[in-house]
Amino acid sequence: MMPGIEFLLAALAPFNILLAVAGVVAGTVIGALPGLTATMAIAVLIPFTFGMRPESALIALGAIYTGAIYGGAYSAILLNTPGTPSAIATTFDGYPMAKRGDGDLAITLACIASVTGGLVGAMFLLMFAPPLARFALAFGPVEYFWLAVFGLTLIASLSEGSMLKGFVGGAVGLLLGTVGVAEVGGDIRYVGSFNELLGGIDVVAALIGLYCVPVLIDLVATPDPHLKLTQEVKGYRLREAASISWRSKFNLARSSVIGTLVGILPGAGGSIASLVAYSEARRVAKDPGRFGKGEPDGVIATESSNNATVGGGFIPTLVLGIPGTPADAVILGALLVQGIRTGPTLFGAQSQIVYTFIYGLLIATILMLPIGLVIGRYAFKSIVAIPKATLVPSVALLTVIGSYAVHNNASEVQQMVTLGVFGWVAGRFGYTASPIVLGLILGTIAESGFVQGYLIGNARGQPVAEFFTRPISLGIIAFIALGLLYPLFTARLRARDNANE
Amino acid sequence: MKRFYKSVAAGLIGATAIAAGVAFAAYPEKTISYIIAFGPGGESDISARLQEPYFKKLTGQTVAIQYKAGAGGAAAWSQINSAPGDGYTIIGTNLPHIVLQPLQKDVGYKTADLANVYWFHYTPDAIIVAADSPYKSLEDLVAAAKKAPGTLTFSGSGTNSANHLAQQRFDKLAGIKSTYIPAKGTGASNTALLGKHVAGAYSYSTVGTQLGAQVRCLAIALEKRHSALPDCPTFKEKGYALVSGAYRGIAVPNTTPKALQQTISDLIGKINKEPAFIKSMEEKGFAMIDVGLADMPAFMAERQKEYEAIARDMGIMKK
Amino acid sequence: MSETPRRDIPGIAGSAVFIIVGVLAIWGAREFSPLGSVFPRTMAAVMILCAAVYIAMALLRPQAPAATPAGSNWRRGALIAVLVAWAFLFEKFGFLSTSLFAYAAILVIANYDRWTPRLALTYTAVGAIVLGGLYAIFRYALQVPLPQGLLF
Repeated sequence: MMPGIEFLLAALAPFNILLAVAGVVAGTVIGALPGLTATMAIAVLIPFTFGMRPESALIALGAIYTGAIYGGAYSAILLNTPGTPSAIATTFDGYPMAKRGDGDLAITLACIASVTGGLVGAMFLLMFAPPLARFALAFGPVEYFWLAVFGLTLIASLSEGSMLKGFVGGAVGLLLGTVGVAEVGGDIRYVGSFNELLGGIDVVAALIGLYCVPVLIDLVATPDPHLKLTQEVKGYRLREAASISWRSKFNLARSSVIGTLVGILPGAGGSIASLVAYSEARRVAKDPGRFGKGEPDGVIATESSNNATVGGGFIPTLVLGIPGTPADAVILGALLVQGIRTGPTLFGAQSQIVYTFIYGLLIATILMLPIGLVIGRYAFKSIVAIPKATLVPSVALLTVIGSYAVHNNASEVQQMVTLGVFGWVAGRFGYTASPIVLGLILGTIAESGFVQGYLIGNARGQPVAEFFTRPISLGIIAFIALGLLYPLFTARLRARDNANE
Repeated sequence: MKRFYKSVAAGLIGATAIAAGVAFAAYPEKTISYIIAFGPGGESDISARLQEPYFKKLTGQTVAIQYKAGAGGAAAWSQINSAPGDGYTIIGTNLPHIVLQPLQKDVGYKTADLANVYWFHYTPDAIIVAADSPYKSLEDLVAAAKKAPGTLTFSGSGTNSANHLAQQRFDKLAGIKSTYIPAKGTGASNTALLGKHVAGAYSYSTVGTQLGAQVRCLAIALEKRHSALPDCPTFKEKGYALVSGAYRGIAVPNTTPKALQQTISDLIGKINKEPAFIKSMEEKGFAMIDVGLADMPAFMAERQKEYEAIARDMGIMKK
Repeated sequence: MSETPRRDIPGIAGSAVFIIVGVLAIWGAREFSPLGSVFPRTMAAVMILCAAVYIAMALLRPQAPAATPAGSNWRRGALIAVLVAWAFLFEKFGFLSTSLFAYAAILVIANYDRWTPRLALTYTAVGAIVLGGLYAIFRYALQVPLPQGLLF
């Protein structure tokens, strides 16, 4: 059922369009700065929306959100530093592309993919929000546990060089994730006398440290330019990007749907969505070996899925009153202050607010194409043109100010630098950053899912069966098995084909 | 935008006043930093946002809400006393957090270090089940728990939190044994509740109003029924002496002069008397409370005793 | 690249360190509650196992170590020193003052061109704009309470 045209017209009111444009621009810029996450962008800009009508406020916040998720791709591609956690997987192929001189192409691709993913997510929100919200509720602790394990299996394929080193790195990340007061269980773990660590290692600080600091350390060591410029600047490379995107239309569609579905799950969010989409894109690819070395399909998968989580995340937020992502939690808070009660009734009695907002989100997403291309172009040009002597201190300043601004907490800056130096040393020993970060992000989800699932299973008298008898769990387990065994299977097939020739 | 201009205008007026020689004008003369020890979007943030306009209305000055999240609030509370005690830094505090945290471990502050000036509201504990749950009343729930001890699961936000305390206390009062499933925050607890992964949730009245018709509130830990949840009986009505919840208040750096502390306490008290403020708070499920500076020592001593007793029962006191 | 296959000595050394970390993690988990210790223990065990297998494989099947990146190590060391000092001192001394020093220091570390008055002037201007601009945005527009500390 397609809700009425009157809401579309309401969304097209000049003020709403203006908000959409301003929101996308502000969001993109904030998201591009390492350390400034989508959640923070929204939190900071919320007071400006209090004077507005609820639907206009929502459009502005939605536009900021979607812009910030896209903006995170810039620093991921150009600086190997995810601007927001949901852009982690964008670094895997985006940075290698930039290094070989295809940074402009990667940014344009990211823009096309983000817009596509954003549109798919918003369309799902428009048409299937209530039934999909019920799907989200079917995910219990056990399912979250398996979903996190699914994300962790990506380590096996991510580790350049040695898979064993990847697993060690993943375990390091998982152990880092246990530091602090366990929210589930209440144990105080590995804090020692450092009270600053009671709250645990902050994911954003760890991300900035592990990805960005090693890049800076190696940048100052040589006089070589930061990014290679193989050819003369070629413009937007829009035609080239469009044809790559068209070739990868199945990847785009699959990743967008994955992003929407994962976005609907409260607490999962863009980082998991993009990791799942990435590993699926890699699994079905003809030549998975090219992933991680600058494969455009990698960027397409992560950027379409993470923007799809925007629309997806609004589904439980608006239908159930349960925030789908951390950014949605902030938006939900703003709605409460405005006196709007989310829940099933919102789609009935106050449908005017909801549908005007959804159309506004669609419009903002479409506007992101021209806006994103222009800002992306500018970001690329400036990063390439800035001399190293000013680039390095400027980025260093951003990492310090950004990791401080997440919680206004100086100890997180210290965590950032410490982990960064650790990451650089570990890199010298052949242990890469990505498995560590994956372990850190997914570990807490896996652990709380495991502990809660065990407690619930125990109360039912079946602590082990709880993990292996629920239908959705079995489905995820099947995907995990497929992900681990499929490469072996195709490798054997290929070997046999070669033998036959 | 309008707010922005207004605050600029207010600032200009303030500046002119000072320039005119009114240097000894009453507190406050400039923007007050209001620190929230949690992230944006939570109930502490929402409360502060709702108070914000009344600061302006009553004093002509604005407040700047700043977030300093970390370690369940301890990151901000352990640092508040290093801020200047000039009345321009205030911080939101929460009970039972500020009692329980120092009991468990050295978290960088002691409960007595925090100069609380006012407790302005609390979110009463409540037992909530999904709307189509077989448990229609608290009696159903207690009967089911007695029949099969330990099988009834309740989600709640966090371990050793207000929700967890409520579960432990009710189990003791009712002589039952239930299983507490700690979730990461209220949102996650609600997901488990609505998804029927648990039999019910130990939560707050605010959640009851927020989730509306999707859930049923079986009992609320108030003296009298809450106006926003008129169908939800109190634990007292059912014969259990449980009146508890998570309290929110304001503290200042402990170097703040007593007279200034009193001024701030009175200001928060005045906001708490605004009819429109009370209405918006109660609609959201908060319960108003007024504990000013004068009543603070007695109130805190009582809470301290109460929480310490439960903490000892739960075995979470530091060795 | 040497002709004869070499052993991945850094990899072996790193694995040995991680085995020690794993043992410490298991030791540190001894006072956790049963549910709180399952996860760290399992992970530490996985870490020890993988690292041990890696050492065994590296000894049995020699493999070249990860290539050591070329470049100036003093510059790397200096950058690390500045970053660490910055992160641990800015709250005490103030964000703006420490950032001013750190920015200038890193600029000097990262510069490979010959210093001319023109270059120095340009870089000073760029630094002032970047630092001042970011400070203003965060401090005033985003209302981030950047610490003032002892200096400024």
